[in-house]
Amino acid sequence: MSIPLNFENRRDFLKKLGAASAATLAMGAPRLLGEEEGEHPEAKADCCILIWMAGGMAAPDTFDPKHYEPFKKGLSVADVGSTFPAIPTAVSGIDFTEGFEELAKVMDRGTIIRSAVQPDLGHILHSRHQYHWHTGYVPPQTVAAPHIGAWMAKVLGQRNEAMPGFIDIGQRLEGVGEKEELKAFHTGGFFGSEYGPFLLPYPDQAIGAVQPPEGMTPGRFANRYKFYQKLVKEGQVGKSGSEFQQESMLRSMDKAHRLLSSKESVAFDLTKEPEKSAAPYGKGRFGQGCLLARRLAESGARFIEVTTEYQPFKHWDTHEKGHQTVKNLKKEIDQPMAQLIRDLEERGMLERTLVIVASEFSRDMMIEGVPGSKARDQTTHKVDKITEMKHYGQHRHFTGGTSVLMFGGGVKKGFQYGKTADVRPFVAVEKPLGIEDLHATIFEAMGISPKTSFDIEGRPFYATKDGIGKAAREIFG
Amino acid sequence: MNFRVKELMSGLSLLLVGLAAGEVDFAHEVLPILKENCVKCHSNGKYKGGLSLDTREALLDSDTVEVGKAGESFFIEVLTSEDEDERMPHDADPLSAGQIAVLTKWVNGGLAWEAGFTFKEKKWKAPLAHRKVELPGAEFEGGNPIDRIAQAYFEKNKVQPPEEISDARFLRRVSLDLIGLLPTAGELKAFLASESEKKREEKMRGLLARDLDYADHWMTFWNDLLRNDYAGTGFIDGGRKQITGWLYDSLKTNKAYDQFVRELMNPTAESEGFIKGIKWRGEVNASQVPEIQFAQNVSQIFFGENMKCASCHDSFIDDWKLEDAYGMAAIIAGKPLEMYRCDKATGKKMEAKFLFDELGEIDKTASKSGRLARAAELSTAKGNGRLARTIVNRLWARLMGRGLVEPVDMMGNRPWSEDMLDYLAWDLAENGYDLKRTLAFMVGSRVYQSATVARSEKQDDFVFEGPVAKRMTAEQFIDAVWGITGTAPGKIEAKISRGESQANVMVPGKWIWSATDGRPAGEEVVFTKDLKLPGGAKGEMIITCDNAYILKVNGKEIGRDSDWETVESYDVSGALRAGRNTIRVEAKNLGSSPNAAALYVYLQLVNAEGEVVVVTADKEWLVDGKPAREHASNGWGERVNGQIAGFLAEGDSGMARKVRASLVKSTLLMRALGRPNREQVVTTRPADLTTLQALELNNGAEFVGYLNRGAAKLASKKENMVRDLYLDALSRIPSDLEEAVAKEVLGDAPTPERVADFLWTVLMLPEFQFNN
Repeated sequence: MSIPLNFENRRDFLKKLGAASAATLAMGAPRLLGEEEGEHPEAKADCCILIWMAGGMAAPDTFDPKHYEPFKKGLSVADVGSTFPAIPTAVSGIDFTEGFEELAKVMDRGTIIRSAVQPDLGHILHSRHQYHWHTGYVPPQTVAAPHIGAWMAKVLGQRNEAMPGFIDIGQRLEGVGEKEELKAFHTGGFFGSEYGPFLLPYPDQAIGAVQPPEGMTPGRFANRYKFYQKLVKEGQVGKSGSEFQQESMLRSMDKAHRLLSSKESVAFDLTKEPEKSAAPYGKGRFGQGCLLARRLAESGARFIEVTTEYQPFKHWDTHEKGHQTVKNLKKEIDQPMAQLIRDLEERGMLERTLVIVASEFSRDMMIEGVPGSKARDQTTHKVDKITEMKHYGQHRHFTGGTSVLMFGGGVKKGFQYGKTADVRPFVAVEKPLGIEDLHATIFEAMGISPKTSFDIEGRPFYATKDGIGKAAREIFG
Repeated sequence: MNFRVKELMSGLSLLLVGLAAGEVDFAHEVLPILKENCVKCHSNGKYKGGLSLDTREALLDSDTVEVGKAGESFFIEVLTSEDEDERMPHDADPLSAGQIAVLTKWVNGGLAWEAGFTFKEKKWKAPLAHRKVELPGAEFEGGNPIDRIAQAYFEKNKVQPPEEISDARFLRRVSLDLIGLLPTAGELKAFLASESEKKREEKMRGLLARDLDYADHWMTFWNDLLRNDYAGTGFIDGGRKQITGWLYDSLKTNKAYDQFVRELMNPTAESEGFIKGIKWRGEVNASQVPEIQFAQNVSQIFFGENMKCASCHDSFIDDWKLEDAYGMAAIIAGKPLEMYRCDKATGKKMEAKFLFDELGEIDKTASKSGRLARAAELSTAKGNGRLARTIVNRLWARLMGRGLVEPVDMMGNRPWSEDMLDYLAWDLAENGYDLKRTLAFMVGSRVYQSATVARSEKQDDFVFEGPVAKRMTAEQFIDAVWGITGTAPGKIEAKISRGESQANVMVPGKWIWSATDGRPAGEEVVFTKDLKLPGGAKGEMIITCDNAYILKVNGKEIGRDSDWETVESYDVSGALRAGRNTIRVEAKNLGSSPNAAALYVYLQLVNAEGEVVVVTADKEWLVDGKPAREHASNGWGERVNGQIAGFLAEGDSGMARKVRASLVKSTLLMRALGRPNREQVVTTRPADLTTLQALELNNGAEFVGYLNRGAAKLASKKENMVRDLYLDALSRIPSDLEEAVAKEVLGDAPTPERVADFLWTVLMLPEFQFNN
């Protein structure tokens, strides 16, 4: 495809370009090799919102209540399953823990997976498990593995060409601990930066990423581009004709310019949300992130991740004071998550939007890894008897049974998949679901074959490791 | 829903070809069945029944396959035929139901094929030994060997040789290629004015002699290849070690390439980071342990061979076996290595074995360092032509935009000119592995000094018609922007030594503020110094402050820092003006209780008359309007004098040496423009600008900041702004039409805003962003 460097016709050309399939456009016009068509499952959803509980969300203190013992001095750690009492949800037989009252009310719209499991990677490291969860591959890898959002952007393309295919809300990659490890999987990987994350670490500043630079009026911005086009036309390129790379560069400049002047950019501006509908999301960064995700989904985003943000020893990464930390965290996240589901439903979008709530692993009071693993115990307080409040909480990394919530995207309503044991160890005792299969399930909803592969350095690289992922089809209704 | 996913993405860091998203995988599932049962009679010259399976195209030509419709494909039908005469394979057991199912799915799923793969036996096999090429074109005796070979090649292939480029274009191209910098307007003027017949050669020799600029530039290339960086995964817990200092020294001194490779493979403490690899805590896949990383990386980087398939199982796409990968890995392992096939133990152990074992054995009883020394010896042995071929091909690709062999990591592929590859490789080995000699050969050739041609995506049947335009690397782009806008940061983050050792040197200048009296925590004071420079001046300012400072010259912020143990150096040339100048340091003392506080400033300028003017912090400075107090350097000097001396040693006759993008940690802008994470070996940077990159260049805070700061400086300079920018950025003067457009942008009285917009329009031109 070559752009005619005749700028009078350029508008028409770009119009046509816009009419071409979004998928082709998003590929940066790679060369199609043939007419082959592969088989993907039929998509149940067009948009995916991943709500990421960064740092290891303890299932027993959130969505998989176990035996509750309130705090008291001298309490034996072994006697505590949950540090929160169970509460009923809208679905009889499915309980959550105290603090998730709002989310409990919308459980009848979704499925809970209680049997997600993670591999034993020896020493348990958040960034390594997060890398695994987000790419499907355990680091290190010989090629740069793409994030699951990059897979969606690449294979499905953009839904709306003025909306980046892969948007990441709430995670800073600078100024936080383990930032290099975070950068390693926040990437388009071998697909290239076109499919990498569009980073919006602060939702209330998101609009800044899609409008002209600070202090530049729209008029000045438009003029600048107009002058640029004149110079291109007058310059050597315009005269000497076509060069694939240079045309490709001009095309990218044009797309960027249009994105920055598009009407869709208003979706990034949270101040444009009416007070009435903004209020339920609260003023917290996570709540604002959920609101932003909803607005972007409405405007045609393909994949959005919203995170509580990974920061070593913060948020879900509880190595001490677990109970109190989670109590506070729930106050911040319960209402916005529930509101997101309600808003999507009200707008008739929930059926075609897959919302996932997940974390890199669970936590337990006693067990690091799974029973029998040699993982080094990483709790700050190695006590058998709880004598202080700071001992009370889920302080060890548990990989044997993790909860994942899914809403919309064709998943069953009010359904439970898998189960963990009632007594410690709380391992998945029914239908354990590994990363490959969990990803295959997500890809199934999105209409991507888990065997989708790209040939890289002469080797196939699959959407799920070695193409082995099998979707848990049972959860679709 | 169906998606077309078969496509070729070129220009990525890795060769990437989409397979069909069907249910089968050609390399792992289909290929073994065809290999075992079909190709004996239907490929490689034998085409029974007229059926050729050599390539996908050949199979389609046979009309035995209806893509997407196995039921209508004769190719599938014959597998289950009741008629023994018709059933395939002939005179053999029928295929199993599972095998037939795979082939059926394969046809239904789109007949996916490995790009470039053929069953036809390659008649050509890459030689290992060197070959001395008889140079063609005796009538060009004494001419550049590259041109003599190219001349014969062009004639044979009926290619019209590309036209020669102008002096200006040559200068821009060769500067970017050899030292990574744009030529300054002054350099350009001098070069164009020179009447020397050998001025291009003189220029190229001059550039190659700029050891520090050369090392700064080639750090990017080698950091990518050797996975070296100043921050990244693994450093957090000691799972990775930098080789920065060693690498920089090696480049600075143009270390012989064979020696360079030996020091990497059989390292000292300074260079051991490379073979140590990257270790994440916890258990990793058997094909990713550091020993296998060694096997893969050494094979890829030095010999252009891909061991990534063979690290899991015998490769399906070439002849490398699991034993080959583990043999290389066992060189560095403490003991014979147990082999894992697809992450499962095989129970077999592998002894150390060199990739090209025809070169010699590795003593199994030798210690680890003995084995590494032997491997280093074999890597650089006289009989190993692959080492030189691989590196000259990489350099050729860098300079000419495409390799003699492509992809550059598949050196088993046939070059478009064996003579060219073999000659350059032989010449390198014969002449002490001097890489600068090879570079000089290349840029001195008429081939290099030719107009660029369109990029070709062809792999087979590629015909060389001339060099291809190269996109600037992130580092080249940012260095150029820093140069034009005067916004380079003050601090090098790579631990390198540009000068001689700076230990215990006398450092000029004084410290002021308060060495003995504790200053209150949180105290903020302002130091000022007025300076008369009748004709203006240029130079750099070295500064550090316990605890924090903001430095301003004539009201413009130059820089700020809050770590007294690091010293900064800023180019203040752009902020100085003729007449009176004011230096202002807003200093702050931190801490929780009263403590000592100190400021160091050393400003070395060259004024309009060419005289050196030195200004240091002393009692002539004012602190909140009163005279400052001098004091001894006390503990501060011990900690930072080395750094100060380092900056002084770097300065070329008082002029600042710029911080280069290759010597600082990656930033968001650099990442956006393609500087890789360096967890994987990267041998090719992305060739195309993507939309996300374009966005970053439209409104990214970092880039916008450079433009605005640069514009603020340039706006005060009224004359020849347009002409100077064209000279600096594009190495040419603007056309009348371009001048007219620039005038429109700038208006009658250029404000910083208008200047920023003008800068943007020029820096965004493909002509600027490509080395054409």
